[in-house]
Amino acid sequence: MADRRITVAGDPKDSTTIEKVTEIIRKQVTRRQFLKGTGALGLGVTTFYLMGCGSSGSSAQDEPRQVFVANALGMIVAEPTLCVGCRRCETSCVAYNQGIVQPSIANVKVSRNQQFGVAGVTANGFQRGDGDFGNFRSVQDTCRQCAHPVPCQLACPHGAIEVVAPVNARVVNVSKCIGCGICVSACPWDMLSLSGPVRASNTKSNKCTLCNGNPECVQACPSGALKYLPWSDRTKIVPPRQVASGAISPDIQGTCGKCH
Amino acid sequence: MQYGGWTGKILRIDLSTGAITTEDTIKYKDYLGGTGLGYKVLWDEVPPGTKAWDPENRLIFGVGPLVGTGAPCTGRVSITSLWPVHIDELPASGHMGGHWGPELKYAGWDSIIIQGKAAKPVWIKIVDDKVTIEDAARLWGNGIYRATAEICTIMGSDARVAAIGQAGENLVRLSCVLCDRSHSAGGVGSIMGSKNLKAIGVKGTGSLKIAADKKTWADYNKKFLSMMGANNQIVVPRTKQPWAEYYNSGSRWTADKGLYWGAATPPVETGYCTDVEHPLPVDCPSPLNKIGLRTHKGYGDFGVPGAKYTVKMNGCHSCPIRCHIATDIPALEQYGVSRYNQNTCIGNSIVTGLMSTNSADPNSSITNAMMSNNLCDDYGFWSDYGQYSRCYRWAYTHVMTAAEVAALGLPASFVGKTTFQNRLPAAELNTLSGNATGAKPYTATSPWGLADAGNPSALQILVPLICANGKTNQPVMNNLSTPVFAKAVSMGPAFLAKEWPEIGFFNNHCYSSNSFKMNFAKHHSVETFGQIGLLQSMLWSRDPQNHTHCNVSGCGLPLDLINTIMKELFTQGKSIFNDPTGSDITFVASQTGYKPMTPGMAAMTAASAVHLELHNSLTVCNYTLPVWVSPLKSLGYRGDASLDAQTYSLVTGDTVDQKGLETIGLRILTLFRALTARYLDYAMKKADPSKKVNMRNDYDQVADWMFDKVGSTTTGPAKGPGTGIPNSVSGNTDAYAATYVPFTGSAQIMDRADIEKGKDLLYDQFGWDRATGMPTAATLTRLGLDYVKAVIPTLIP
Ligand code: SF4
Ligand code: SF4
Repeated sequence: MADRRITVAGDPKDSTTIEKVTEIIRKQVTRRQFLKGTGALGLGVTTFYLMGCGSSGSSAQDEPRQVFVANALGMIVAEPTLCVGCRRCETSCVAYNQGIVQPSIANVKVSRNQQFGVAGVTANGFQRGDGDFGNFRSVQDTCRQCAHPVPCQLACPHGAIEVVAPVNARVVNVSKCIGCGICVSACPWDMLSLSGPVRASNTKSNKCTLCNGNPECVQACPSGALKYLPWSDRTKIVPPRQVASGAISPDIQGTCGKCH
Repeated sequence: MQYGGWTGKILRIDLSTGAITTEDTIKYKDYLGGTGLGYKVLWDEVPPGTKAWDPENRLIFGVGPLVGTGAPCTGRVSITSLWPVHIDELPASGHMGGHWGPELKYAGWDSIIIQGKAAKPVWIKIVDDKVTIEDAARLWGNGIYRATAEICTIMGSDARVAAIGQAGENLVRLSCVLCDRSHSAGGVGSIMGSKNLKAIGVKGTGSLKIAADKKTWADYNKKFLSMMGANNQIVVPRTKQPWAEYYNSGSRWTADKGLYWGAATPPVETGYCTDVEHPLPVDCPSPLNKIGLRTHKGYGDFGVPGAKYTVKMNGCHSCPIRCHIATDIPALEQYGVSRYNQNTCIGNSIVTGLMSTNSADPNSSITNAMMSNNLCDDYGFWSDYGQYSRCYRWAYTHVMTAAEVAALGLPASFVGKTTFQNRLPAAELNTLSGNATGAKPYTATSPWGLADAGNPSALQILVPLICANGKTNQPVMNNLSTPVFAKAVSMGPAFLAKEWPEIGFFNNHCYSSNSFKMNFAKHHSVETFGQIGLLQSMLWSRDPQNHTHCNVSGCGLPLDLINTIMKELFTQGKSIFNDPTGSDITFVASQTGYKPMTPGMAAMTAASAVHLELHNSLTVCNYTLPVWVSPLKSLGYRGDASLDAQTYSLVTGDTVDQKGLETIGLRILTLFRALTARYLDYAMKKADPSKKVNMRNDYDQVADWMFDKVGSTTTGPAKGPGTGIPNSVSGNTDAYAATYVPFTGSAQIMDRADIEKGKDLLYDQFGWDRATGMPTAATLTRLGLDYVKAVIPTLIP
């Protein structure tokens, strides 16, 4: 049985013990309070790593598997009223990080809501709802950088979605990602995208990395409609976009009970 | 494809056979894409004698290498074809922005060539490399909004649709193709209609390569953005603001403290939108994050009511300069149309010239405009840059005099009545005005009665009537039908002048026509730096809508500074268009400081024309680029004339400098010249086999009103029906005052000899022959256009 540790993201050596974390958890009544509490206590605790629990197909068996992760430090918050629909955020996101242009894998998603709103098109559905064919409201979808339990991260059977310093963004580790797309259906807000067909060679999942705390999309937005702000939990105020799979990777199923 | 930017594949669809084939883009690389590609396809495939609506005509949706790359202002598409609005159906292009072009690139296609004619209405569905021809029976007869929504229900909310409305279906010459709600390509709608093609829906999930490394590309984009101004590259704010050295009351950089997008929820204050050298504490992270608020065109175009009703500024893919005014006018709901409408510039007033404003209502102007826009963007009716509408207004109001009627050889009964009264059947006049003679007063509830009262519902009758194009099977409202009226309006001024010569008279001889030549509109001509604007306008077969020179003339900087900057660009050997003698180029004293032609003016004219073709081929927005000036004081307000070449090089990896790219642009313009000469020569020979085209005389024309005065006893040679009539004969007083003298005071009147000199100097810049206005054999060789010589040997000097 491998050691289960809590570490500061990006620096597995700087760790504490499971006992310490369990103690913190027991002090809290609810998960919400727990999350606030860890921040308030300022332990610098960001990640709960799990190793050796029947890891299924992890490409890096020797690395610990993150389960509990601390909150992100920042997030991209969109202001639809200000969005002028230029999609410079989408092109910048991909081009300045990956050197190609491909809005379909951008981590900020404007096009899909632009013409007919979040609700999408319906027959005769023009000039009624949101979007350019309606009232011009254009909603830019951004990753909520969910708090634990992070749906995409826990769903990934390969442990490929990791929490990365300096801002604790939930990031796809492309060396572990096999492009299976399980995370894509796990995200309630449909914020991940595959760069190619499912499981094809070179297909990788793309999700928002917060660009180390200086997001390209925020820099690119010509109307200040995207802002990089301290993290807050927006999962409750933004309705889900899809019925998420609710999948939890087999290797960590059953571990929730260890803390809760 | 070895280069970035291009996808490497062009889609060809033959609607007659249903064949869908793929071609390699590389064979068109020398022409970039857009109009360049369109001209080459027409040259290679469409023989003279083909008409615009023949199945053999090609409709080329030309998208260039920069589209979709995220470089600023790269959302554009050029749609090239034989042009149904020109009297000889010479080649021309309509251009649209929006998101359709980038989507096509992401689907893996550089352009689409459409040919043939489908047996029944169809639409084309493109999902990445899956291309199918679909049945459009359910869509035909519907407007563009419904067609788009229907196609998106099939393809997904994020599919992009370019469609025609009833205007294009009914072969209205003044019709357009629209995408993304409000982005229209003028004049080409009826070609889709003639091919039974309702729409092209595109969804693309693929990627484009950028040759430059990502850091270089990111830094370059930020540099580029920092040099941009507001719409039309205006680089100073409209009002005096503490951060700015200059301001100009004509500026479209309207953002200001206390100026809001008033209909946003909550309202958005534009505030100071500074340049990058003057960051304010509230700008986050930088002034680049407020470029999109700089151009408040709602306020710019409609004043205070415009500010009140603006939801936001909208626009094309990748463009930080938002020029489409998204409005919310609740009052429109009482007429049963959406309160939400958007467009820009003339797109907001396509049919407002057909009616009056209601002086009692301060919101009348914007309400009429948004009604116009709601209808025209659905029916797909084209503005003709206002020319058809000025002709309509004249035919509606101008009472023919005895001298005019005599000069035009019209029946004496025409005297004392308007052209509509003279030309429309009694039954139609009755429908339109409420009485069989079309005399005033009109019945209040008739279309013309409503129009004169400034009631926007007038347009709800007039637009469907006009777009029905005389088809009696398309009753509009209460079974109204006015086939003669509808055809007259919808065919456009050039074709109408053939039937009603008084329209040709008006356009050529009357100052208020604002026509340039061949019955098309003047669009940034003589009022934009005199001969620089005028001479470039001669070179196309429609209103040229060239903004290259316009994006300098209106930039808002002091004129002597503009002249200095232009002299740096065009007298010091930096451009292939150059005047080594260092003559003055632009005005220095006032915006109306007209002065005789100089070689420097010719150099800037040539560069202006070539950059239009470059932009329409790359394809980037010519309403905002090039960046020949900038808002940056540290650069002395210089821009960077090599930005187009830099963007092209970084994207494609095909490294060219400014002169290299200009040479490609000159190649494209010169091919267009040869193409036009070839078709025009055919048209002239058809009328008279002994004729041979002389482009200088037969094509590079200027309307006579730009030279003539009240009482002039001479005029230019006849240029079609209703022309060649001196003002002394027609008694025309819609002309420059008899006291005007060219190049004195603020008189805009031009001088024929000076313009002829201007042609000489301009042809010299292009390497075209002075006598014929045709590219010389040496020029064709130098530009890689040797193949032209074999096709039109007798036309090459
Ligand atoms: S589940 Fe979706 S919203 Fe949450 S972190 Fe993952 S990608 Fe972002
Ligand atoms: S860059 Fe800003 S304005 Fe443009 S689409 Fe993205 S969020 Fe909207």
